[in-house]
Amino acid sequence: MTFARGFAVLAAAVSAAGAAWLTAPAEAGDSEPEVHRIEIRRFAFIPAQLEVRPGDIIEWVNNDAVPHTSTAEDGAWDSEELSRGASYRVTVDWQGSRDYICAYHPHMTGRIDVVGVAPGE
Amino acid sequence: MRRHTLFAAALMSAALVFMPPSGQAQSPEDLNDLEIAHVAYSAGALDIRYAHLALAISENPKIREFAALMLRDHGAVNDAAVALITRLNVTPKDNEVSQSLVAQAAGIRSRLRAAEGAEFDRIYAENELSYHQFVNGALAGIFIPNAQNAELKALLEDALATFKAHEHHAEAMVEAVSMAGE
Ligand SMILES: [Cu+2]
Repeated sequence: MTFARGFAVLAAAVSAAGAAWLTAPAEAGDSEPEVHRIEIRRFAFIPAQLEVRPGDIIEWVNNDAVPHTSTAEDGAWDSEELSRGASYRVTVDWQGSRDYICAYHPHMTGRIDVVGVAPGE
Repeated sequence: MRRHTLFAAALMSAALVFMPPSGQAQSPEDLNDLEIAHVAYSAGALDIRYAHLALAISENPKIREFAALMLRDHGAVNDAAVALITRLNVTPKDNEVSQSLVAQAAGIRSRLRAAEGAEFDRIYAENELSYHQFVNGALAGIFIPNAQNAELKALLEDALATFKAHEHHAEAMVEAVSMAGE
C-alpha cells in the first residue's frame, strides 16, 4: 500500500468514525448491534427463545457447576465445552430461525429468531 | 415387564439400606450438614466408579456416552463441593448412610464386573436409573430441607438439578438398552 493510498484509507476511516460519532446520539440503542446475553442455569437456557437482529451479538454464559455447550442443530456454531463462568459469542449473520442444544444434555434446547434487518440497512 | 420388576427390586433394596437394623443406627433424617455433605460427595464418587467400569467394559455407544457424561458432571459437582468445604474450612463427616451406600455399591460393582455385553449394559442402565431416582429422592425430600448452611443448600440444589437431568437421560438409556435386547 502506498503512502497516499494508506492515508486515504485512514482519512476515510477517521471521517466515517467521526461522522458516526457526530450523528449517532449516545443512547441510539436502536441502530447499534445489541449484545444479548443467554444465561445457562440449572440445565436451562434463559431465555430459551430470543429475538435478535442481523449483526447483533449473542453471548452464552454458563453459571452451572457442570459443563454445557451451545451447539446449533445445523452445525452453524458450536461453543464446545463451557465450564462454569465461561462464555461464548456468536455474531448473527443469518436470517430466520436456528435451533440449538447442549451437546452434553440434549434435552436442553433453545431457539434464536432473527427478525428485521441489520442496523443501517 | 422384567425391567419394571428389577427396577422395583432395586428401589426396595435402596430403601432397605436406609432402614436401620437397630434403633441406634443413623437414618438420613438424623444427619447434620457435614454428614449430608459426605453422603452427597460419596454418591457422586460412587457413580464415577460405575462410569469407569462402564467405559472399561461396555461397547454400546449409548452406554459409553452416558458414562462419559457421568464422569464430566459428577466430577464438576464434586469439584464444586471440594471448593465449598475448602472455603468453609470444614471436613465432611463419614456416617452410616455413606457407609451403606458404599457397601451397596461394592455389591453392584461386583455384579457389573461379572456381566458382559448386553447384560452388562442392562444392569448398568437400570442401576443408573434407580440410583439417580434414589439419590434425588433423598436430596429433595431430606437433605435439601435439612441442610442448615445456605451455601451447602445451594450446592445440593445444583446437584439435584444435575442428577435430575441424569435421571431423565437414564430413563431413555434403559429404554434403548431394553429394546436392543428384545
Ligand atoms: Cu448441558
